[in-house]
Amino acid sequence: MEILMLLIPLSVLLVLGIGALFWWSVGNGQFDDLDGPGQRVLTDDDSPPAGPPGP
Amino acid sequence: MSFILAPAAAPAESATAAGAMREPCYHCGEKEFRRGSWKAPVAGAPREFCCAGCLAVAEVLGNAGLIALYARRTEPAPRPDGDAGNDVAETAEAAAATGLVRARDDGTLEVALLIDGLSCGACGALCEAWLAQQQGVQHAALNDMSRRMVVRWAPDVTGLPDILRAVAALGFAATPYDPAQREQRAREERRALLKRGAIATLAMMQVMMFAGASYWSDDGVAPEQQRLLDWASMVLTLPVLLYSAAPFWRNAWRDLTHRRAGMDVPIVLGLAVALVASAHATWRGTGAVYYDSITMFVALVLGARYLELLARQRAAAAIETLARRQPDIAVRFCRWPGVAVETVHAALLARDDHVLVRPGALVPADGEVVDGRSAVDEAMLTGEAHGITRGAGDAVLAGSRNGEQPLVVRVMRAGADTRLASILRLTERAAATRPAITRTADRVATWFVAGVLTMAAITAIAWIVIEPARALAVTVAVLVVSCPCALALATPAAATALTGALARNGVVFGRGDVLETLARVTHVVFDKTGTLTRGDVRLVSMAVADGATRDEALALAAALESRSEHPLARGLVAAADGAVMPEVGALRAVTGQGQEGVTARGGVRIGTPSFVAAIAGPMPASLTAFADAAPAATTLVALGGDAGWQAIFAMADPLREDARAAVAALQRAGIATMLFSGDRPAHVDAVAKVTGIADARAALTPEGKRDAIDALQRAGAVVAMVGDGVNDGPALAQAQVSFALASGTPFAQWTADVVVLNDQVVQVATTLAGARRAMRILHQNFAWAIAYNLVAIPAAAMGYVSPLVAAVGMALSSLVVVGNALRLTGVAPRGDGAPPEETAAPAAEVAWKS
Repeated sequence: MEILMLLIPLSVLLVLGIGALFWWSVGNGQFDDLDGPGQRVLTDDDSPPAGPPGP
Repeated sequence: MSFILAPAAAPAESATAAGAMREPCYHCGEKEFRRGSWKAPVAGAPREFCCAGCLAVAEVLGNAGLIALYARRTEPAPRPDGDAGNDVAETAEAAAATGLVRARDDGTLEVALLIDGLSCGACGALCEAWLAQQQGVQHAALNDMSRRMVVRWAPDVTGLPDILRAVAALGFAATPYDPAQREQRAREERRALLKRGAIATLAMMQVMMFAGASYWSDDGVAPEQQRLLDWASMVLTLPVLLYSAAPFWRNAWRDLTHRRAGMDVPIVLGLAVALVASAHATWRGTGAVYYDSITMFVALVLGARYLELLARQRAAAAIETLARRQPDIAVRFCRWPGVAVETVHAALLARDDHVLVRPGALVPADGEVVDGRSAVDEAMLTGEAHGITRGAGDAVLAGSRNGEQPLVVRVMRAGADTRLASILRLTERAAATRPAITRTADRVATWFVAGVLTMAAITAIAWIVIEPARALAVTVAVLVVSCPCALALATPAAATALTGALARNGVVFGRGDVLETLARVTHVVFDKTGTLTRGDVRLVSMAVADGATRDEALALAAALESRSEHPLARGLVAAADGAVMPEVGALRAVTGQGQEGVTARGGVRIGTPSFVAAIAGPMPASLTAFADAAPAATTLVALGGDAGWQAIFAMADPLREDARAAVAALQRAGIATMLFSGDRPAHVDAVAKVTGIADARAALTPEGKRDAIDALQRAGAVVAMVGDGVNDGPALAQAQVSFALASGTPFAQWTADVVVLNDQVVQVATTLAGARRAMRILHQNFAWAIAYNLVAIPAAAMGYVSPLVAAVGMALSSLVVVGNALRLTGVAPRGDGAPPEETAAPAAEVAWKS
């Protein structure tokens, strides 16, 4: 069971790594809008967004 | 004065104590600065300051007798920015131009300020006290949560620039309230809590995995491997305690320095004791560790708080969406009807300006369409989902969105006078006051926590005597298992969830503390005109004499009434709807009778039947039959002249479609409904009969209405008054709760506790039902909290609950109460109020067909 001596610290590193990744992704706004991007993929509209209303 | 300045002190004096050299700036806490330049005694002791700015602030505080801040504060004050006071004039001007400064009825001005740099409650209290001391400032109230300050001042004594300068003198930056900034902060708050919760959850999962080894292995874990697991657990627990649990530490520290026992104090105490014990055991390699309890506890409590935060922000967002509709830019015609246009700030528009509203643009001000025809979307203001077609002569509201076609609008009300601006002010005022029950809950929570701390101390002492080995675990369990969440977390959550749900239904609170009263309402008193009825008189039916035609009669009636402002007259003119009016000369009004004039065919009169009969002779039989058959609630208007009788018009004020549904829903909920009106008994009785109100009183003066409500209140009734106009003012003020419909006068809206934006009377029933449900849920929460704590705390004190079970129990209990409170998020439309669709249809059928 000596392998545990390696695996346990490894698991700690792994958790810390995942934590750091998650921390970054929240700060990056990945979780601000959970519905919008999924919906946007479905709208098959490649035309540029409408400009400001004309006269 | 105890506060004396001594700048540029002698070097010898500054070197007196070596210890003093290391002292940070007394005001802002800055450590690195040249000592000795800025010194002054504060409360008798010599203090060092880093710069002239900090010294100046301290001087201001000293002169104002507010130096107690230095003893009470929990964080150093922000360093005053030397430039902060310079652009106040510009800021003040912009605030006035954009409608952020509001004139009140009593002649004072009011503004909401967002104050940056307020890091603790003491600073907030200081700011309030300091502003209240300023000459001309009549009112300054800070909302700790939103960091928003409402300031009211007399414009002839002081001005906004002086107030902003006063705030700057304390070293805080004040910005007239801007919703966009608040949204930014809400997002940051959400992200921060999400990060903390996620880190805690990840750590919890891994620590539980490590702990599982010893829980579930049959023959125990080898000692050296157990040590490794403990160390690994500690490594993972530290970030949870230092980062994820940071808000707990901060809140508890703030509470302790204020000699107050907040809900985070036992949490932090439990965490600290568990950590110290676990770290000690890990270091020595023997003894119990509680890392699993710590991480699980933090993760679950953060989860409950995240839910609460989301609910709070969703509720706020329902109102914020309104604020975002406030248009900034207007296209104004330089010289209407010329075509040249200029772009100006919407706040600079004045009455009778003509503006161009392009397709898709927001209407910049309340006004009347002069040219063009287009569908206008008013969903934000009235909850009406579909665009309504507006043409020349129709009113449009600021903040509604124009559809397909350009419109030319003549401005009636701009800037801070628009309906939108008044709604926003109302909601801001409501947000600045808290329901009494949340204040009570806060107070009770403090006592509760003090009790828990005492209990923990007693437990610790008792167990040290009985069985020292278990004393630590039992004490931690007591601290952790107690759950004040029903008081400190769930009560505000319920209140805000209800506010948000109602706002989506077009109901806004003008005061935050009406919730309890709403739930206790026993009588609802309606006004008639403009409340149960639409408030505009319309032509219901008409009969013409032999030889006259319908269109001719209407055109003649409109011609006679065209100059009159009487509601009946306006109803007739509207009924004629642009028909070609015959020439009528010598128009004259006869008070209480009607109008008379002269046409090519001789004199004509319109008005009461007797007034017309005086020149036209007795009423013909065909018209008499019609007049006799007319329902009591209609007003008869006769038309005739020297050439004989022309027509009789039956006029009535149509009932709102949902009036009957509203009354029915209230009666189903066991609330007595009454109708107080200044109108004639026949009209009032007819409305009462159609709507199903048993108790209707007619011909009441405004004071009469107030006295009638007073009599009800003496008999123990809790009265809600639903009204619209100025003549309801005394009654609205006398009732414990007042409702105003948005179509009413601005006066009624400003004094009302609750405003129904979409003019649906049925929302009164929905609101009362929602408030009752909110109070019921709060009582459920309190009952649950009492039961849970009564069982859990003694059990923990007697040693039946391990710290891990305590952590799970407490967290689940908070999830239960917060989750229960959040059921209110969707309360308003259905619930036990009236489903409008179901009852509205029959009501519409009965509505004044006659």
